[in-house]
Amino acid sequence: MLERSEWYDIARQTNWTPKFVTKEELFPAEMSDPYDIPQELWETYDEPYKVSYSEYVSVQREKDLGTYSVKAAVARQNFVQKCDERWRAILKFHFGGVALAESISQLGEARLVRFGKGPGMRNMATFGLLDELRHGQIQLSFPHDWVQIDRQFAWTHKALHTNEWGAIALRHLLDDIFISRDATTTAVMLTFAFETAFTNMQFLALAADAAKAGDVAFSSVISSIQTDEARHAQIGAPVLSLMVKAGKKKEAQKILDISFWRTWKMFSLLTGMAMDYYTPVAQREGSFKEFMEEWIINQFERQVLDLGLERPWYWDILLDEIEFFHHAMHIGSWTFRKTLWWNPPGATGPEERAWLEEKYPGWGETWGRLWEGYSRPILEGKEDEPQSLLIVCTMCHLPMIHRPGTWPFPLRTYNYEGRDYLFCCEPCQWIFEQEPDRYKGYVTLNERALAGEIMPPTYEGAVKFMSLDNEDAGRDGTNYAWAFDNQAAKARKAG
Amino acid sequence: MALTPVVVMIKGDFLYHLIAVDSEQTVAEVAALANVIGMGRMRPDCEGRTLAVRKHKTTEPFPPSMKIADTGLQPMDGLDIYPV
Repeated sequence: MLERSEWYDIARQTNWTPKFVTKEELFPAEMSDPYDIPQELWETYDEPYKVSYSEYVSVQREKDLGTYSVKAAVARQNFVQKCDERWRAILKFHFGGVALAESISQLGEARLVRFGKGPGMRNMATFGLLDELRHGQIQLSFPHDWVQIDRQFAWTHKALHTNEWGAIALRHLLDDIFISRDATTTAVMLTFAFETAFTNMQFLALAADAAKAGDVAFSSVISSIQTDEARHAQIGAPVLSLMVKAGKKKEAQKILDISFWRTWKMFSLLTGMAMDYYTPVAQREGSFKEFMEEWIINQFERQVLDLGLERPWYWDILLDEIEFFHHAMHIGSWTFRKTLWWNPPGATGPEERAWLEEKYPGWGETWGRLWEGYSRPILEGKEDEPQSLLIVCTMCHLPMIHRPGTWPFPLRTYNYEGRDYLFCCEPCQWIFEQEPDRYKGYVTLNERALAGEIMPPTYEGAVKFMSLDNEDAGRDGTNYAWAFDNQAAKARKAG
Repeated sequence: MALTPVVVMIKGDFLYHLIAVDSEQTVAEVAALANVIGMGRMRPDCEGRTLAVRKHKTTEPFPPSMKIADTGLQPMDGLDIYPV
């Protein structure tokens, strides 16, 4: 029996000469490679991680056996029935946001399988596609059992089919960088910017927090997934390297800058809120900012420079947003909590406030001050309901926010073909300006409200539009314990 | 009576709000909305204080008694609301 290394390189050279169609028909530029990288260079594509089909199946079978065994064992312990609502919020948010995103990424991998011009790239993407099938299924399977305990878990399958604002933002991102571009660009955007840069953080950091929280099942699922991601995420780096060699550094830099920023915004919401607010203080491994600095600022930046590229032009803006964007997303989403499919904890009691101030000096003067404002009506037993609609960004589709303390706010508008578009930040506007015809037709939530699609055009109308005008609508996950704890702490201090 | 959608920004806040203002409303009535749309988080900053309203990217506030119809506001214009 030959060793894999003895046959692999020959067996995966599948760039045969087509007889019935031309090469251009087999690999149309708009689906395969609009950068016109020479075929000789594509022939040199060398995947860093090599695996045969039999090896793949054998390893994946073991992974699934291990994870589903944990699922059965954990079900007997009733962890989800007993766990803190704060941890449930993480589970509901994660699975609702990620399970079907994995399914969408199957289409992106499939594009690489069919239209990738490097044989090794197609080979790796085939395994990547199989990986994503497993990830979609496993993350639908676990929460499915919990629907009978808590109906919000049904949003695992439901969320991405609704007009919930986070779901719209996520769909727009995934449509843009996973499934509507050529194979070369998709390889960079999906596997390098999204997976290499950010899924590491979501999956490894959250796995560590889950283990500390005693959630063996969640920790096992996402660790198992991350071992696949670590393999197929390596598709993109050699593509970037080929683009640089082919004299397409400018184009490579542009697609990296676009996809990296778009992904940052979404992970700031998904990972940032979970790490710095939802996870109880005792179980936090580190702050979101610390993980960003370790995984993104240090590791990813080094990787980009090693490939002969530059750090994205907006790096200083990113460093600034790491300090505040997820704080804004947390208080903003909590404010409009009926538009969520989970129950967000306010999570700003005395212990949390001290932790946040230590990790983000000045937090108390900015975000803490706003939370204090919220406390008063809560302590008086009043339910304070939003009386306005939020403005969302035309690019990231997340609520437009600004760091409190600076005045006036910037209001970024860009006029294209007679229509004004609103943006939350300079990089989001820059992305639009790169391909305005690509993005111009999208109707934002605000425009839907103005067009009469959200009726009435109020908070309650928006909740209904998002299919949350029922028991699924979010509420404070700890029944405002944070506000009462702060009041008690102040009373103790006053003697 | 005609409704005009505007983008409202309140000093000290972190959100941009979409609200519809009525052409018959006075500027002072729109300023008072800061207490409502800013919810509890803005009350310590706004309650009991005089609030001014100006068009975004300008320096002079509108007179409090001016009707919205006379401000020249267009749909989706920005409005700054701030204590004075």
